[in-house]
Amino acid sequence: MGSDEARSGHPVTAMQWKNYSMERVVKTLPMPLAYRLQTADVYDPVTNKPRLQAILDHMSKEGRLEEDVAIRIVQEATVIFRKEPNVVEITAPTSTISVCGDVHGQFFDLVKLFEVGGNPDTQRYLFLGDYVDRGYFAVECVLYLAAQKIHHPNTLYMLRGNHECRHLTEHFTFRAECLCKFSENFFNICMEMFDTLPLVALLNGQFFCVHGGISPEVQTLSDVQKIDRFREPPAHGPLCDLLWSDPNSEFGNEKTNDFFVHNATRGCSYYFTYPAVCDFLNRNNLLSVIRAHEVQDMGYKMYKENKSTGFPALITVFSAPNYLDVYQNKAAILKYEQGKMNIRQFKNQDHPYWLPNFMDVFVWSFPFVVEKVTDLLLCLLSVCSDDELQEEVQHRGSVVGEGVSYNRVMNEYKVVKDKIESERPLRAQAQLSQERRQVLKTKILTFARLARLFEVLRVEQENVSKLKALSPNGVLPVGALAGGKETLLQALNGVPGVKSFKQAKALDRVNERMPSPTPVKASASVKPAAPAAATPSGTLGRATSMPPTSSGGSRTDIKNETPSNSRIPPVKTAVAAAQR
Amino acid sequence: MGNEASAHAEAGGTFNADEINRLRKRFQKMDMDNSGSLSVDEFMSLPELQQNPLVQRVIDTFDRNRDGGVDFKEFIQGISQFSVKGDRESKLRFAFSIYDIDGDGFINNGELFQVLKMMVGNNLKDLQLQQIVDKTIMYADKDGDGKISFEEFCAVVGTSGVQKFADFVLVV
Repeated sequence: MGSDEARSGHPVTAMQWKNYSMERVVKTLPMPLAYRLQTADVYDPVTNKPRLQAILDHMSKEGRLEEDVAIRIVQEATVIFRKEPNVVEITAPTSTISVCGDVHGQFFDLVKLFEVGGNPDTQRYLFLGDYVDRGYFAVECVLYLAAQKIHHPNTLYMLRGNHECRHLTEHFTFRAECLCKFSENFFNICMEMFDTLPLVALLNGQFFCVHGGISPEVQTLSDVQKIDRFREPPAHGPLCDLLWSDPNSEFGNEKTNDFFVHNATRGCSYYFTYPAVCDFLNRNNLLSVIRAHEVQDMGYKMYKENKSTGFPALITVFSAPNYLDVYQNKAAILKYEQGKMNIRQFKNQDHPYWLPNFMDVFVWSFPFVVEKVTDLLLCLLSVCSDDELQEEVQHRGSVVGEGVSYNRVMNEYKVVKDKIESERPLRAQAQLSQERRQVLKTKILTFARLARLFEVLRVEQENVSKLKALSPNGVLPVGALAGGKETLLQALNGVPGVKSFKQAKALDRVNERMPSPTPVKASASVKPAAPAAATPSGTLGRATSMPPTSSGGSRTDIKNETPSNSRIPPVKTAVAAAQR
Repeated sequence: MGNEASAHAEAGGTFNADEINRLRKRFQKMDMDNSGSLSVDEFMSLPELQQNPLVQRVIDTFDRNRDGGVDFKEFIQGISQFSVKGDRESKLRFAFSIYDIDGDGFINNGELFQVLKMMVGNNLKDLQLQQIVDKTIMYADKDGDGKISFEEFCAVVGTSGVQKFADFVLVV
């Protein structure tokens, strides 16, 4: 800012003495690309397919596509998915196939994943779902994967995860992301694509690949084929289970002989046990269940071997490294080649920063600006005491101004009122002189008006206090914190010596549940309403500053602590729910 | 000092004589060197303001003739913006002017960064702040001139928090 010497009162221009540069500050950082790729940029007129490298390069620099191009890509992929059966059969000729777990909007890590797995022109891929939510580049993930599917319909496969549905994408951030970067229409078209994603892949006749896990209502593969998958997944039943179930915590060491136990983590579906999986594998002559759905510190987990085969009955793979920017986990893909299963781990890449829920900086900072400005103004007005303000005014004998103290006014009001009331019985017969009556009346009115003015002022003060409560310690909070990334970060920062992965997992637990149904709400605008400033942040900076942020958090912070219902309501909602 | 009638007129008649008188007392009390103009230092002599990151910006918006201080007329005019209940537009204009450092009616990238930086301090890296500033402008800039006009600002801010601001009335 300008130096003090310059502010001597000489008439100079603002630019000169304030010394503000109007130029963009961090010049070394490339700007995000404002140009939106059009059909002619994207679609090769010869092949009639989207140019993969062009969209990869463009989206890596935060460039967008024109909406009609984006829609075309998603719809063309949808046509392909729709034709696939519920159980896609992948035979294993000589080329490698990379089996990949959750991606969750981590586009820059997806790019890395393709480097690790190899060129899809020659290498095959099987993705196990959860392409969207949690990460803030889910649109880019969907577009890139859809484009890959168009190019490689028979060598790149994508299954449906529990996040590929309206209920979760409205509760978490994918819908918000679609509204921010495209439109509601684009979101709906993505939902249609998700409805067409197959559920299970049978790899080499040996591996049952699915997002969540097995189901008590699925005994054989034909049970999967019978499911009507072209719909929003319900809150129970085989379609739900395949996308939601988990191995139980004692997998392989169960005390119980039960096969399926209610899944309290998810609030729906089941934990399946080791006996359940072995039973399923043996009945269907399968080697292992490969699934995703649960974050893994190492990016993968091998579970107890099936006695009949000597091979792990269950494998989890997870492909979102440093999940939520917090877990610090490695990601992995399983590379299956010529009968051998290899693990390839990879670490996270840097990614551009977004405020929680794609909030823009004006919506973010506006309440803070209001608070600080109103603070300042009230401070200015408090410069003079009641007495100082009152002096001259009393001398002039006119109506007392606001500067008079509230108590004093009310007391005088009471005195005058009492006096009038006490005078009445004494003068019941006599007439109060007209003049006297008028004087008293004026006084009462005056004091009443003052009392009202004080009331207004007090209400305003309360409003300011409320505003202040939105940013305790004078710091601007960044968004929903309860269950959000901020909470994770703060808790992690605040608890020394604890392994952060475990801590993160415990704190993020609430976000692994199936969200409760929320009431139908008219969603007026794309932009969030007020940023959820209500929850205080732990690690706040200086009292004057807005707090440290990381992506995550949401508009209004409704935390899902209520146990989920067993039914998803038929009507979908506009969301105002926490995520992360 | 004096000139209450003209100050009164300048403020569009928002304040009556008593209110102007009371404002004058506060002005005089703050004007410690009796220069007829409030400097930044005189503002900052109020302890509560020392932790307020927007003092300089508010002073700048009050200081219409850009002479580095707030004279009584500017003081009255500044405060009068907050004495009318429910005037959403003028409150929005005031908020806009907080971001619009050079007062040219547009918020450009550098200005937005600088003002946010005042409020954020070191709690966000410059790189991260630049990234969200860039994206905000890119998404909000409808006419493609690379900066945010008042109309574009209003479209973005929408109703969030504005109503509360609009209803805030300073009783002088």
